[in-house]
Amino acid sequence: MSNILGKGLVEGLVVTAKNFVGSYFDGKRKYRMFNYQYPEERMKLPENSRTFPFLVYDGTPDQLRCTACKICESECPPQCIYIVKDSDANGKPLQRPRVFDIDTSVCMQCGICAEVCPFNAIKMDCDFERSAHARFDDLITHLPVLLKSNDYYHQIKSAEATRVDATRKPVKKPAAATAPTAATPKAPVAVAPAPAPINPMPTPSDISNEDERAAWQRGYQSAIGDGEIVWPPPVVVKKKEAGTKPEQSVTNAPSPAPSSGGAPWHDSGLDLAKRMEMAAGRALADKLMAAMAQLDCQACGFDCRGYAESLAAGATKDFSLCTPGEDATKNMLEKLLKEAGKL
Amino acid sequence: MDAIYQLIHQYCPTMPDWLTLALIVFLPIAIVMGVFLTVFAFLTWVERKSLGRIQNRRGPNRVGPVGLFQPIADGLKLLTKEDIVPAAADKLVHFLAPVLVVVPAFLVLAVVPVAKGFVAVDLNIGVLFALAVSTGSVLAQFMAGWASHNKFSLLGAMRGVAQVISYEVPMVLAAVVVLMAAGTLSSVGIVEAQRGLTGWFVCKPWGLVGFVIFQLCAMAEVARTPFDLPEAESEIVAGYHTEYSGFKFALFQMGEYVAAITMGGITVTMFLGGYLGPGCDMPKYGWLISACWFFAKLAITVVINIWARGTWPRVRVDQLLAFAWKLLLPLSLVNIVAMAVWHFAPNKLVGWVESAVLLAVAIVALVKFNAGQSFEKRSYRFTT
Repeated sequence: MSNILGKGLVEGLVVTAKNFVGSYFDGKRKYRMFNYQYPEERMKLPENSRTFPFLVYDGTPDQLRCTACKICESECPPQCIYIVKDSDANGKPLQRPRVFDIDTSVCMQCGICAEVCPFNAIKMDCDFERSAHARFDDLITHLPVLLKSNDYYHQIKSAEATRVDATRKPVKKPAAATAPTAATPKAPVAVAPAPAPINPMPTPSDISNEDERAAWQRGYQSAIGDGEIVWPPPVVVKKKEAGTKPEQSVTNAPSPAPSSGGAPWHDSGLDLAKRMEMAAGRALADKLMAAMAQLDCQACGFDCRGYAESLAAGATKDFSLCTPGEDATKNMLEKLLKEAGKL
Repeated sequence: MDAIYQLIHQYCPTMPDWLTLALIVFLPIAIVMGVFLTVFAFLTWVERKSLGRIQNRRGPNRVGPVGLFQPIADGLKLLTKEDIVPAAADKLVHFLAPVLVVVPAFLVLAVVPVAKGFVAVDLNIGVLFALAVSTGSVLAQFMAGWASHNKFSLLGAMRGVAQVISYEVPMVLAAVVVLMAAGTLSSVGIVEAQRGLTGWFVCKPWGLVGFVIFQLCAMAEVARTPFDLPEAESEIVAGYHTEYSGFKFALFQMGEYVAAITMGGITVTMFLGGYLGPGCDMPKYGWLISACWFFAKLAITVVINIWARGTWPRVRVDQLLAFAWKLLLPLSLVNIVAMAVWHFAPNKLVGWVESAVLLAVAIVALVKFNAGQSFEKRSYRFTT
C-alpha cells in the first residue's frame, strides 16, 4: 500500500497546507514566519556574528584600550588599518593612536585584528547597517566612529565581553596616576611617564653593515608609506626633570655595556630567531632588546630599548611585560636573564 | 442579456431601441472585461500572498493595506519600464505576439455564464468555441519564441506547443462526457443540465474523473507550475517571453493569468454546476446570488492552482508527455465508456456502481501498466 499513485503528491499538499495555516494561527512553532519586517524589526545577530571592527574603551572615550602598538595594522590581511601613534607637544610618543582609520571598503571582516590584539582593544561589531553615500568619504571610518564603549560591547556580545573582562590583565600603564597631568591637559590618559630616550634611527650615511642598511630601508619605507613621519625624526631633548622618578633614574643610567653600532634588529618584520642572531655577542641589554617585539608600543612602560636596559640594570624584575611579544619574548627574556645570572 | 434587458425595461422604459441594443451588446462585454481584469489583478496578489504563507513568509505587504495595491504598483512599474526589442528579432511578430496572447483568453470569457441570465454571448456551440479558442494562445507563444531569435525562447515555445497539443486531447475527451450528459454544446445549457441536489457533474463517478482530468489539462494548458515547462525559470530563463520587457511582459503575464481564470470558469461551468446554488433562482437578487456562487466555485479552482504551484515541483518533459499520452488519454477514453454505461443503465444505482467499478479497474490497470516507466526513481552518483 505504500506505492499508491499520488500518495507523495497528497503528502506534499498536506505539508504546504500545514505551513499555510500555521503561518496564521500556530503560535507554538518556534518560527511562525521567517521574515523580519526590516525597517520596523531588526534581527538581533548572534554573538558569534561579526561585521566590522570597532575600538573598545572603558568608561569614557579617552580611556580607550588601544595603545597604538600596530599589531593589528601589520597583521591585517587586506591592510585596511592605518594607525599613527600619538605624541605630545615634545614629540614624546604616547600610548594611544592619533589616527586610527579602518577602510571598510577594503576590510574583509576576517576578525584577525581582534584575535591578535593583546589588549582586547579591537573587537568585531554586529552592526549590519553600514551603507554609505560616498566610498572614500564615508567608508573610511575614523577614530570617533570606531570608538565604542565596553557597555556597548557587553550589549552586543555579553558572554564574550564578560569573558574578556574576567581574563583581561589590567593594562600596564605604569605610574599613569602619578604622571604630571598638567603638562598634557588634552590627554589625561596614558601619558608615558618617563621619556626613555628614543634611539635615533641610523641615517644612511653612517651605515656600513649591509644588514643594517636593509633594516633601515625597510623602516624608512614604512615611514614614507605612512606619509606622517618626517625624516629625520624630531630630535628628542632630554628633559631637565630626568631623575625625579625612580624609573627615570634607572633608564637614564648608563647601560652596563653600552650598545654599539645601533640596533639592526629593531624591526618588527624580523622574527625572533633572526633578531637574536643579529644581537649575538652584543651586550646583555642589546640581546634583551632584540628579544622584544620591536614595536615600541610602551605597553611595558618603556620603549623597547628602555625596557631592555631597565631589565639589564635590574631595576625592573618583571620580564613578562612585553605583551605584543607574547610567550616567545617572555621565555627568551627569562632565558637571557638566567644566563646572565640576573634571576 | 435577458437580465440587462429586464433591468432596462423596468427602470428606464423610455430608452430608445438603438441605445438598448448597444447597452445589451456592450455592457456585458464591459462588465466581463472589467470584472475579470480586476480579478486578474488581485489574483496575482492572492497568489503571492498564499505562496508566501505556504513558505512561511508574509508576501507583499508594503503597498497599501496588507499589500493590496501591489498589483497597481506592479502595473505602473511595468508600464514605465523600457521596452526592449532584440536587434535580431522579427519586429512585427515580436510586437504581435503579446497582443495575440491576451485575445484568446478574453474571447473565451464571452461564453462563460457568470450569473443566471448573464453570459456575454450564449453561443449554441459555446464549449467547442471555448476549447478551440483557448488553444489559440499557443500560437502567440510560438510567435513570441520564434520572433525573439533566442534559443531559450524557441525552446520554451517548442515545449509549449508540444505540451498544449498533448494535453488538448485528453481535455476535449474529458469534456465529451459532459456534452453527452447535457446533450448540448451551449454553456448555459450545460449549467442548466446540472440542476438538482447532486446534479453537479462532479458528483458522479465519470464526472469526478472528468473533472480531475480536465483540471490537470487546464493547468497544463495555461502552463501552471507542475507543468510550467514553457517558461521554466531554472532551465530556460523565462521561456518564450525571455526577450520581453515592460508592458509586453505584463501582457504575457496577464494572458497567462486570465487564461487560468477562464479555464477555471470553463471547469466550473462544466463540472461544478456553474452559477447554480441555493438561492440562485430568487426573483430579485438571483443574479447576484448566482454570481456569488460562480465566483465562489471559481475560487476553488484558483485555490487548486495556487496550492499545486506552492507544492509540486516541475515535471520533466518526458514525464509530462508520458503522463498525458499514457495515463490521461486512455483514462478519458474509458471515461466516455463509463458515461455510456451510466446512460444505458436500468437505474441510477446500477449506473453508479457499474461506472465506478469500470473506472476504478481502469485506473488501477493504467497505473500498473505505467508503473516504473513514467515515474521512475532517479539515482544520483554522490548521494548515499
